[in-house]
Amino acid sequence: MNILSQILEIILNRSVIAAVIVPGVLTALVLVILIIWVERKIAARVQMRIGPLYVTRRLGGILQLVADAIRFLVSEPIVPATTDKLFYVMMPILLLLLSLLPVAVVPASQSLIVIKTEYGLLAFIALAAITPMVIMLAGWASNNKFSYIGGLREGFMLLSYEVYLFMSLLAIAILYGTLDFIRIINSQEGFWGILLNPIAALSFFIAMLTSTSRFPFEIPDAESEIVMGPFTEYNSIMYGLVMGANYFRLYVLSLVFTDVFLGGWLLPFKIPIPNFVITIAKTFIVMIVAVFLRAVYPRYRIDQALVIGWEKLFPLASLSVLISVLLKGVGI
Amino acid sequence: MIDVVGHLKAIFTAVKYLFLRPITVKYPEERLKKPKNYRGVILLDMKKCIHCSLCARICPAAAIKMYKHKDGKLYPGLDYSRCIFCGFCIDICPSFALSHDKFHEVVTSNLKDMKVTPTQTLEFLRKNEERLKEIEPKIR
Repeated sequence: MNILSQILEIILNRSVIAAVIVPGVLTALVLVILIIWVERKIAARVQMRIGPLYVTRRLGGILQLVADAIRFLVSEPIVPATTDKLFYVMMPILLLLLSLLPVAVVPASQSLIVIKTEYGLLAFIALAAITPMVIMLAGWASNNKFSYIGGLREGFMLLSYEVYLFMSLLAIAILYGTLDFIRIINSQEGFWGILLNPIAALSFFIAMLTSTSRFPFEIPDAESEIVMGPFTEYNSIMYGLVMGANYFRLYVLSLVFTDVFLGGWLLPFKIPIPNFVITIAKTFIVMIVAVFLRAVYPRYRIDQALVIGWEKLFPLASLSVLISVLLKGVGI
Repeated sequence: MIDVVGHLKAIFTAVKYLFLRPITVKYPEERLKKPKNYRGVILLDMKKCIHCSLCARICPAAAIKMYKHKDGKLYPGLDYSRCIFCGFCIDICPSFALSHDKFHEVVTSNLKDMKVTPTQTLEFLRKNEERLKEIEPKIR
């Protein structure tokens, strides 16, 4: 009995619940499945098509992604002979893990956080910076020119977006005088971060698009140019994993955007809904806006994206830091 | 600097299109209404035919072949695996024996059935129509 109660204690621990349910794996999985459906549906409707339909017709084909996932699971994984096999097989798993890892320090509500730390923002940046390396490694391990070019492009993009991603978070850290997510959210009572520093929000949002290779920065895996970029050689469930990893990363970054700029679980009015539901709902809306851009934009060239990164968004992010400093000086 | 107006315009256009009705036709369940001079399968009126073989000569896909009927005269038969529905045979027919039907879904279970002799034309059409009626399409 003693062991049983101990096991229960471990399972019902808040950190474990946070890691497994909200905002961890389960929520991420559900949101990712939903967001891919939403993305396909939105792109279809903007192009005056119908989109996925025939799987669960009454619900508008919402289970299409589940069907796709099953198809990925049952198809035969093929490891090409020319690849570096260990790395090739390891990378999708690592990528999926590392994409979701930053969620460990991001809260969904006051208590639903895996690791409560004062340096949440810093830890998030550190954890989020690992994934691009894995993508580059995946491109290298595939031993294919498209994968190689895709990996290289990811490297180029990394050099451009990481800077303004970090700068916009720096602006927030200066503005609230803390690196702790929960304190940042609590100090947004009444006035969300996006209103105080919209430029930081904009540059963070664009960095989000760039780092998850959403349109218009879908450069590393530009399908019409380099097949699938670093993931060209991947098939069956391995491809499912790398595709899912990208959306997991989008989810984590949207969650951070919600926490930092949209006040997390804070609302201007009071409604009797659990805090984490509000956070997840806001996150989902941010994700929808991010995937909606697929239907709007064409793709930038790599040099254009780098110019935008260094010549336009870097000064913009610097400006946002300046705004934060000024706001702090005024005493808000 | 950054073309803010252009970006906003692009986004608003996309939002506008998001709420328009899709123009896709869900084909087997939904059909478009056929226009007046629609070129579907080709029907033969054996009473009007004057056995001139002009249709077989004009056919660019060589789909029409003349078959000898019981009365010892030649009538055109069609091979739908070759027919391109161009309508040349109908245009050239001096006695208006050939005509288009609006039905166009030529589906058979094997290639041999695609070849239709003059007497089989109507039967062929009926069989195909019956098969498609099972789905009960909505006409849009």
